[in-house]
Amino acid sequence: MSSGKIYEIIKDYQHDYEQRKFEITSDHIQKWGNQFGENSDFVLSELLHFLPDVYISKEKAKNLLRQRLVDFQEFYKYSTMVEFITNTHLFDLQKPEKSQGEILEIIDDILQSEFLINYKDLEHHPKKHFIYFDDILATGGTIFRDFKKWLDSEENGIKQSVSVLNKTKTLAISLFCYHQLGYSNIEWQLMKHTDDKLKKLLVVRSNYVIENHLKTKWIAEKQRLNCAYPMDDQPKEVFDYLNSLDAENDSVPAFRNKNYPKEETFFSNPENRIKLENLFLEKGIQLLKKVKTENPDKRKRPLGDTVKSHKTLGVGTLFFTWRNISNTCPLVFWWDVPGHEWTPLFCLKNRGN
Amino acid sequence: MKITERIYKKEEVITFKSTKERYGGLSNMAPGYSIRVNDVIIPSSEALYQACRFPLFPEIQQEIIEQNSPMTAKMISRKYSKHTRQDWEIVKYDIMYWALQVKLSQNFDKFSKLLIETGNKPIVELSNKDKDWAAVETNENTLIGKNALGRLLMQLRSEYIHKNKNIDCVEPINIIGFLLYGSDIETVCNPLLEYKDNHLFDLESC
Repeated sequence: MSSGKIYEIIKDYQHDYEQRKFEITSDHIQKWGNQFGENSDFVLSELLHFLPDVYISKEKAKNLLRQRLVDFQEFYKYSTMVEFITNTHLFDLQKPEKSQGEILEIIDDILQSEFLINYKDLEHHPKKHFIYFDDILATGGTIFRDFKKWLDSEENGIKQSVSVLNKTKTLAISLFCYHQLGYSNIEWQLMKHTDDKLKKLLVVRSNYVIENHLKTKWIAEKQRLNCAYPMDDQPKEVFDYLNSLDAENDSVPAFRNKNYPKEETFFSNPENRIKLENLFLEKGIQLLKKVKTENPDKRKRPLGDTVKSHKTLGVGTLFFTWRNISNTCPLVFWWDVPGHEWTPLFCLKNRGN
Repeated sequence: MKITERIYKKEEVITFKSTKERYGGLSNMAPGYSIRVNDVIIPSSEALYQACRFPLFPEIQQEIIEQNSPMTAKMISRKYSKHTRQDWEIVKYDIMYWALQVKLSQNFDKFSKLLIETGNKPIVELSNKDKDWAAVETNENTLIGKNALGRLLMQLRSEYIHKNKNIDCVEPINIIGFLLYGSDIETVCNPLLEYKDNHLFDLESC
């Protein structure tokens, strides 16, 4: 049964979060799948096809972060971890309920238990390297805002941006996953806000990339489109929904071209991609129709939150971590509103709808 | 667009040659004037212009765009000259003017300031031998050449700076096969405007 195999992959989802709303069990997974009616088995088996590559358990996160620390140590040419950490500042800028704090806790744990380093003891040492850890970069708004603020700030009367540009400080981002389009937007805006040279100076490390750049044919042909991005062969309801959006910006295409991806490397086959994308889209629209508020959140879309000005069906992230689901994932994964008669696969932490 | 040769008196004009000089930012080779077209970041207006020579060869466009140095981008373009679009000599000035409009739109503060500083004086690019895009010094005070880049810069200054005309966004020009990486070039806008209007992001992700 797919639900049992899925359980083995996601069983640690929020296991370290005491206020979690429900436990991940095979029954819970099956209950979620059953909401797709006759397509229940299909949805679960297709999810199982790609889930092993896109779910980061806490144990896997620890391994990836350990390796990332070692990679940074080598990249910045330090012979020991203690030397590297002594010269490194790990940004802690996000609100407590966000991912950064939890990632820093894991890093602290790794440093203490495996390298016998207490990061806090070294905090007051002058820093050369500045690293921003996070889990997923989708549209990139959070990281851009944090970087902009830091680059504009001063230390000893010198702007941080000046220190980065004259190479007395380094700036890096470490992620489990980023969306190519979102990162490109950040890179462009940071170049314009600071200096073109920042493009070469900003170090980016990520374990997984969501390839969703569709603006130009030649690049789009090579993209995996490892996300939910439906074609325009849709029923009237979908176009009615799209036309009803109070969003004027069509710079990001709402639908993928039927020729993309050229080769299917994410879903089990091209037909199953179409079927699953359309099922998630249809259910997502049904869920949004249940929202009765006068001022619905303009970012909410059937395939996941997006920039409110974008006339699209959602970001469509298909990447998950143990700690919390990104609201840029399709709604079917996380929608949890009393009276809407929908059980999410992953429950949200500290985030309303 | 047709441009004929002219004669300038050096003492009466603004000249630029090296990108490090006071008016070096007027040069297509100047660093720090990046551009983004169809979500592709391009390091200079020179790289954008050269990429437009090869609309049917995205691999060549990529090789040009990926160069850090605009001079290297130009050299690569020369290497592939036999693949240049057939109507290049007819459309090249229009394409260059469009590339300059994009440079102004997407680097408005810096580039408009430089254009304002040139006042009403003729702008001339100096060269040792290029009498098409620039002008060549024939004696101590005389410059001869079509000075196409300088004249397009003057047109830009007249149209947008002196008339205070909005250049928040730039439409693509109406020529066949105006392509980047296999797709039609779209309208491009000032990134500050895109940021202010939350066109790229407004999301608090998880």
